[in-house]
Amino acid sequence: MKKPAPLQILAELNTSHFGNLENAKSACAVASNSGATGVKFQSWKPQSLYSQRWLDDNRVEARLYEKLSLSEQDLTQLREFAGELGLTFGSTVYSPGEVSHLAEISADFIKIASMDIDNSELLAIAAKSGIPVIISTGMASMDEISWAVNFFSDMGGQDLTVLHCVSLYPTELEESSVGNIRHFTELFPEVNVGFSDHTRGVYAAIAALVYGTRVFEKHLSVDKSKPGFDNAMAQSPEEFNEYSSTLRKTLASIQQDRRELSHMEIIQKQKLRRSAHYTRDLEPGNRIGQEDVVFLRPGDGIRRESLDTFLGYTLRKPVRQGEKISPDDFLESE
Amino acid sequence: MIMNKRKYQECFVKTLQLDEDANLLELEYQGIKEWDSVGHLTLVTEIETVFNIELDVDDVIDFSSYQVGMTILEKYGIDFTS
Repeated sequence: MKKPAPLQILAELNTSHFGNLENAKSACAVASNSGATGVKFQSWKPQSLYSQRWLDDNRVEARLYEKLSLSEQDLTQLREFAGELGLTFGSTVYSPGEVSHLAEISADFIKIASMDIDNSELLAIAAKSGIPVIISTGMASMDEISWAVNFFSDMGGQDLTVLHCVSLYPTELEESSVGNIRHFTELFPEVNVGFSDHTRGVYAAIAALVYGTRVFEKHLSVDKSKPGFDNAMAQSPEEFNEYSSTLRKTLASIQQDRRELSHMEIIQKQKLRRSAHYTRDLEPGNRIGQEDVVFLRPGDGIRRESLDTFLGYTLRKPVRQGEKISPDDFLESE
Repeated sequence: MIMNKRKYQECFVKTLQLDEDANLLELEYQGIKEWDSVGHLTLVTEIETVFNIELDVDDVIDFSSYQVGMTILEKYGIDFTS
């Protein structure tokens, strides 16, 4: 089993830039300010996604895809800009040429979309690029996922992250099947397991985190009031900030998985546990019996398990009711 | 023209599956579940077909409500007045 990877929260910016480089840079800044560790774009061109026949038949979509696509020059500048913000940069590829371009600009990762999990040509060239690859698994059977993982390795790929994904937009929580992540971690111990989260909110992501996921991909829309391809499930900047903050807080709560008392809790234990106190005033020469002792807070005196050692001892000094019992109260000879 | 307004209304009623008496004046993108990103493309396609125009992509994106849509269409010479 691989050591859990550091937490990565990738903001999928999809079309929230509306094809405009400056918008895309602004979206990177918003992602950074909203807790993302990385940004992901789409390298598609209309022709790398759809047949010309489909584009001819769906002219509005065709014009939108043309307008909303980012050029190689745009992606090159965004790679640099993301780096300046301390963000990792990657993009989803749909053609060998798009992989090559990401390799040229030393992208931090290449994303293979769910639609291409069986695309041997794309998987092979991505594996050979030497760049970490993230692959989504929406619509895929376990056999198809296993094939992709093995094929990637066979092609020389070294760094693979497999994202649990349901290709429904949005994905209702009842359909999110986050429990599948357990199977991924068992079946593919050498790869990172992540979650491409198309649900609304953070609930499914918290479950995924507990199951061991450390890579999250979540759609971020800078302006959800304008039509975008992912409006139905993209997060607003405020929602994204809440999402990333919740994941970090949840991770902080599960990172320590052994029963070890912290220094703070040891101090607390001394305050909140019980220790032996006198039930009444006693004079020197009295022997301490069970009836002379009560266990009360604070707990920094003689503990219950040590009391038998002192029962029957003789007091060498007067003691008062409510006073904490101390070994110094007794004659040394005992 | 009144006829254009009628045709415009029918585009919404048809593509967003609205009742004939729906309050179109207050209709906004994402205000009803039918007017999501997919519904938006269907609506714009219908409007382009009915009025025999081709909207600039920026106008497709800015088409955020029934009323804004009318303002956009006026740029393409569609007259809703008188």
